[in-house]
Formats: sequence, structure tokens, C-alpha cells
Amino acid sequence: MQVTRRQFFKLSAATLGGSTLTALGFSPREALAEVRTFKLTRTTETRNTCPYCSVACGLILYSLGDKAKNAKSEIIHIEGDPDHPVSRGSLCPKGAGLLGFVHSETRVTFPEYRAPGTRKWKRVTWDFALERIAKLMKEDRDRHFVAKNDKGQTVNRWPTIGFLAASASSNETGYLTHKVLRSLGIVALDNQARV
Amino acid sequence: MADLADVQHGLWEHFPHTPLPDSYMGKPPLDLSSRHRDPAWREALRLIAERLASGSEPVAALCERIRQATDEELENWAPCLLEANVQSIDPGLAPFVAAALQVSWTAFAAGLDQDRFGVIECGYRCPICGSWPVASVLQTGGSVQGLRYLCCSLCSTEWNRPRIHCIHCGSNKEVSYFGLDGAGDAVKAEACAGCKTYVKIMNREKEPFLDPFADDLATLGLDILMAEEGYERLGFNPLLIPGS
Repeated sequence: MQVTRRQFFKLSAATLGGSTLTALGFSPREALAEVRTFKLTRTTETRNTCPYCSVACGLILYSLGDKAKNAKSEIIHIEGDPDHPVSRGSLCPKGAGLLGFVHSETRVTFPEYRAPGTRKWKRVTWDFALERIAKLMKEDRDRHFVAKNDKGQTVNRWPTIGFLAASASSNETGYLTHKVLRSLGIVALDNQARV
Repeated sequence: MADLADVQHGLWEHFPHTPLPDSYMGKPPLDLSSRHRDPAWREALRLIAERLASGSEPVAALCERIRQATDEELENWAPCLLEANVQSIDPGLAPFVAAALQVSWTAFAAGLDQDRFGVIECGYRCPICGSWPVASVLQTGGSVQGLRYLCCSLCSTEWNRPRIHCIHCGSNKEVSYFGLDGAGDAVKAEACAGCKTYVKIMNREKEPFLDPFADDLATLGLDILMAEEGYERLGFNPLLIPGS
């Protein structure tokens, strides 16, 4: 028997031999034979936050697979997290239907672009998407940025753009969102946490 | 095992109310290391041996051994069980000695006034007596629906620990759940790849009458396969002491 720490141990065919079970007259052979017919399954449980609304309910995502290389893991079940201090395990019908959302065939998993005047969406790279967004933002900011108001006071506003942030953000994410957007001069900053 | 549990139940009346500590000084109120054993546990053990003596071999022989033992011998059997020291416990005597100690400590624990102690910070050792847990259960119903409680192997206290955390090292990075393929998923081993230990987690939403002791034995196969994966068992079950 291997005992590395005081009370921990591993049960094996050998240690079952002198165990309580045999001492009381049970045959470990039967148990061992039965074990041979079983295989271990492995699931993972991961905490996450519901993406829908400002309540930001806690979720547990159940997935198959062991995160090993070449093994594809798959989310098999989603339910409320009973340990979550706000939602305490409950979910609304939208949250309870998240598994369908995760596996939806129409779920967008990459950026797409529809050029002005065209009807078709085209798959593009993340680099293209981010560059395009940055370029359009800069153009708009250069054109509409208000450095001073009528009275000549410095205001540094960029009034022609709005930003909608996420529902499940932590304090830290909220701080960073605020820092980045306010430093650009964005005035219309809202959060889904207020919806 | 079932007979033993029945006898345990019948022994409850032998443990009338005893004076209990009424303050909590940062230690479990019925701490194993400091609390003096109530001699009534020996009487309980003798009664267990008497009531099971008519059973078949080898139980009858074990009961005879208990009946012949002196007070001193009985007292010498207790510490290694209380300390969950699997190497020095006699695997045959363990279920009987543990059964008597369990009744004694459970009677104490049941007499404690919960309001006096408030919330006790606890880890994987029992907040009341400091023993090891046998397993954990996911509760059902009301305000505890889906919450995980560890079950004390000695005094039957159940205490809450958050899910998806290794109860041993506290990490939530590499926790995964192992089950037996084709044997239902009500009992799983919550295993931490970081510290290589596991504790069973029994889901009463899947099977309402799961018992941390009996269903621990019933899922012995899980322990054997977990050992083959290199994991060590944290849960202590006096009905299942391995041989050396």
C-alpha cells in the first residue's frame, strides 16, 4: 500500500485483500471482476457568467473531454451555479436555454464584412475587422472631435459615436472600458448592466 | 453493514445529554485532539458486539474478540480510528469500533446549539470535531439546492464547501469529475490534477437516497480505477480500511 500522506491511500487489488471487506467475509474478487467491465468517464465543470442581462447569473458549464491535446471537448450541459451569491443557482428561460445558443448553427464565430452597396457578407480576418473599425473610428473622430466649446473651455468631446459595453463585466473590466473610452472623448458610453 | 447501522440507530438512547462546550475558541468545539472520550462509547461497542454476535462468521468471531477485550484494550483501538490512521487500524475491527465512536460523537454533535457557534470557518476537516470527511453530497431542496456539503466520518455533521474547488489544496484550475461509464452519474470522483487527490461527490438530485457511507462502498470500482490513474483518496470511511 502506498501512503504518502497520513490518511490518503490508493485502493488496489492488493490492498483490497486485507481490507475491511475481506475481514468481514466479502470476496473482493467479485468487485474486482466487475471493475474490469467499467471505464472511467471524465467531465469538467467550469464557472462562467450568463451573457444576456445585467443580473449576470452564475453558470456551470459541463463539458466532456479532458482538455488534452487532440481531444475535442464539448459542452454537454449548462445550469445555474448554486454557489453564486446573486443568482443562487437559478436561471431565467433564456439563460436555461444557453446550450442551444452555444451549439446554434447560426452562431457567428468569426468576423464578417458587408461592404457598402453590396448584399453579401464576406468572411474576413480579425486583423481586417479591427483595422477597419479603427480606421473608421479615427476618421469620424478627426472630423467631429470637439476640443473646446462655444465659451472656449476645453471639453475634449467626441459626440458622434456611442459605445455599448457588456453585461458580465467585472469591476476591472468596467474600469478599463471607462479609461479607454473616456480618454478618446466618448460621451455616449452605456453598459448593458443598465438595460 | 446494514445490521450494524440498525444497531447504531438503536444505541441512540444510551447517550443522554451531556454537558457541552458553549463557546467556540477558534477550534472545533468537539475537537478530537483535546476532547476526552466519553466512556459510554465502550458500552456502545460491547452492545454492538452482543447484538451482532449471532451473525455468521467471520463477524461472530470479531464480536467475540470485542466482548473479551478489556476496557484498556478497547481504549487503545480508538485513537488510530479517530486519527484516520489507516496503517495502524485493524481492518476487521474498524467498522465496529467506528460505529460505537460515531454514535457517541453524533450524540454530542446533535446536542450542540448551532446559534451559539455561528459560522465556523472550515476547510476539509469537520468544523465540529476535526475529523476527515467520508464524501460530499450535492443537496436538494430549498435554500441548499445544488450546494455541496462534506459529510463528517465521525459525528455526521455536514458542512458547506464551494463546488469546483479542490477541497484539499483549494485550487480550481485542474478539477475534473470522474465517473464509471454505464453506472449512472450520481456518484463521481472530484479530482484535482494539481495535488492528485479526490473526494467523492454524490448528487442527490440524480438519486435522492444516496448515503455517503453505503454508496461510497457501492462505488468501490471508482476508487480502484482512480488509483490506477494515480489519484489518492482523501475521504475516510471506517467501513473501508485497506489492507497493507
